[in-house]
Amino acid sequence: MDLQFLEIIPQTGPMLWGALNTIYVGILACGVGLVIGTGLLFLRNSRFRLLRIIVGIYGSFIRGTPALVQILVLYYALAPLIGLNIGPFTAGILAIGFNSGAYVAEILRGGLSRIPPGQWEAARALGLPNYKIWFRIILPQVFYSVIPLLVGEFTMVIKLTPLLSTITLVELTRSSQMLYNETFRPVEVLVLAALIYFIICFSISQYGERLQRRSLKYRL
Amino acid sequence: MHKNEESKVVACELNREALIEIRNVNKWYNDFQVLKDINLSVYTGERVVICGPSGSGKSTLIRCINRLEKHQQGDIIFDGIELTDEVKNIDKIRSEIGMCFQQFNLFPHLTVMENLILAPISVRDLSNAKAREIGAHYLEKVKIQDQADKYPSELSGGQQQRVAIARALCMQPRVLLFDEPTSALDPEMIAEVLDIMEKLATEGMTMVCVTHEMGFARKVADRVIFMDAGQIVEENDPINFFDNPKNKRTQKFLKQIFEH
Amino acid sequence: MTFDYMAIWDNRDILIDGVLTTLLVSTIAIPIGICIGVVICMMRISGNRMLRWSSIVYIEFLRNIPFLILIFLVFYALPFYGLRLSGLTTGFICLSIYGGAYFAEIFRGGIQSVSKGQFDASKALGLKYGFYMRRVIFPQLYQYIIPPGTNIALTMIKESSLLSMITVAELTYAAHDVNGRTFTPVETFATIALLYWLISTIFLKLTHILQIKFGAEDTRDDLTIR
Repeated sequence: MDLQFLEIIPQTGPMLWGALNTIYVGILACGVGLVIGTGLLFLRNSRFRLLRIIVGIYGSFIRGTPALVQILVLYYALAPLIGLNIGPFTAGILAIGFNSGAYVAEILRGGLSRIPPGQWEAARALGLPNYKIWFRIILPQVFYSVIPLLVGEFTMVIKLTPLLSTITLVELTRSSQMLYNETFRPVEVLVLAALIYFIICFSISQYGERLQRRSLKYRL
Repeated sequence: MHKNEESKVVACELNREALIEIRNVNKWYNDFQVLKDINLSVYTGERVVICGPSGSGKSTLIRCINRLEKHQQGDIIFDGIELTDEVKNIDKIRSEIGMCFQQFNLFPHLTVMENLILAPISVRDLSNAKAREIGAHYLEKVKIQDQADKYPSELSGGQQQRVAIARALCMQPRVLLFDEPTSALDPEMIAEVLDIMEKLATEGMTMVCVTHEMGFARKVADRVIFMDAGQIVEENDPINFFDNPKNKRTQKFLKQIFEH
Repeated sequence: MTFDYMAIWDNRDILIDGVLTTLLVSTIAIPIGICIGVVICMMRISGNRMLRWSSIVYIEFLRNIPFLILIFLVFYALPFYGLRLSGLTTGFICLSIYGGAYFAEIFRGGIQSVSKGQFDASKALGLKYGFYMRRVIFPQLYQYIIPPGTNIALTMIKESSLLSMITVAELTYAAHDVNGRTFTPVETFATIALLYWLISTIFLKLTHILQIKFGAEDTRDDLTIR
């Protein structure tokens, strides 16, 4: 079969909209993930055993179930259960955000464990109060040290977005499906979609590597 | 040498109240006793050097002074305030005690100047401008004025330790604690740090210094203390300490040090 | 709030078949993925530039596209070239090559982590290649490879849920099936979530035993490799 990319190109408008949706959802979900991940980091060290157990169960659930199932559970089960009427957009951002949050928490925990105890000592020796030590000394260093892992996590979020097509969100994959169902040219459309995903993810990793190199100045 | 005697007399005359009072302090790590019945007083203006083999508890002792370590028995009293578990109490005391570490422990994500002004702004509520002024003053004192905007990763070990000293000085503490400040430095950089410490000493800074640098102790200290296995074994002024050690363990230690 | 347990129970055979299919696909794809990973890894570290670049392209391509796009490409696009594969076969192939890319990177990381000094010391002692690889290098490799490797295997088990989108009757597809018959999304999806959770927990327990056997305990509980 001969490939007719040139024929397809003019019709790829919707696909590009889908790509924008993908990036949009990706960024928002990533934001949710970062907030949840940082929050979990603190909850993990809580004095209350119940909180620590809840955090543990949350992490175990996210890690032990497929993301697709988490999305389906959130949209078709959890939301109706609580009585929340949320659209696929919100559900998607939340589901991926909750998923990412558990992994971000693990990444940050690893980074935290690698902060030399001397940093804590020097900060306490200066008489700095606890919350200042966390926000001005420790957390910045944690984030600088785990940049590549966080970038990898962002890439993962982008790669999770196609799953949202199952809850009717029109992102890149769904719009690709719609296009090749119309044009009967799945090869060209899917190859194009793969290319777009590749460009997005690869660019993110490259940028991440650049950030990582620049961050070396801020680390000992 | 007679400078030491002079300042000792001055200290005795002016200030009978000890700045740091350590009474019958005992400390255990689980079952292992790391400090045994320590009694020590440090007066304002005094320079105290503590030496001893590794594991003798000397680092643990000075870290108890600013409560980076907690003692289980006995009292540690700083400027009349007893060291307990009350948080407000601890932060306030720590802002009056400066500490320099063997590993420098500069904050790598902040520039030299930012390292210096962080605590004065956060803890003493100084304005940015005033803090920078003080920072610049102490940077000059430790002779690193032109590195103010560099990051610690861009400095040598000796420079980093001098920044660490300046950082402690910016809080204008009543006493400076040094925990083996030159042990992690390459030999050629030890002198620049010791020079600064000497200068501070001659300006009247109260210091408690754990170190292996005996030349420094001889020159600068008012009192030298030898610790071994968690106890204070011998305490004397430098002349008598080095020339006439009384205790057998002290003699053995000094012999080992000077044989190299 | 009433849970219609009977709806689930009545259709349990559909769900059980789903579990079995999921396990089947994973059990076959994981070993194949490991083998592919070893091959790609060897190519990646070889001196031959062609081999090296091919492996880099392979790895980067598979790591930067979503798994769903991969299975769509194989399932919907290949037929136009005369290769029409069943959903199940597509599943085996895609899961294996996807896993292979990740395994390759882990193996490469492991090899680089075993310090050169170990090779030097072995050679200096006059040990033969086969001998020191087996007795000196591989034992050290295990602790670098097994923990992240089990993570990848677990990820592959979870990724199998995407095969539901190309009509493979694994667990997620079974859930859609049951839901379509009984209109009980809450019960069905919650049930499969628990079933997957059960599978993962059992899998992690088994791999933990494996890790202890090889002396490569994952003390870090590191989720950083997805």
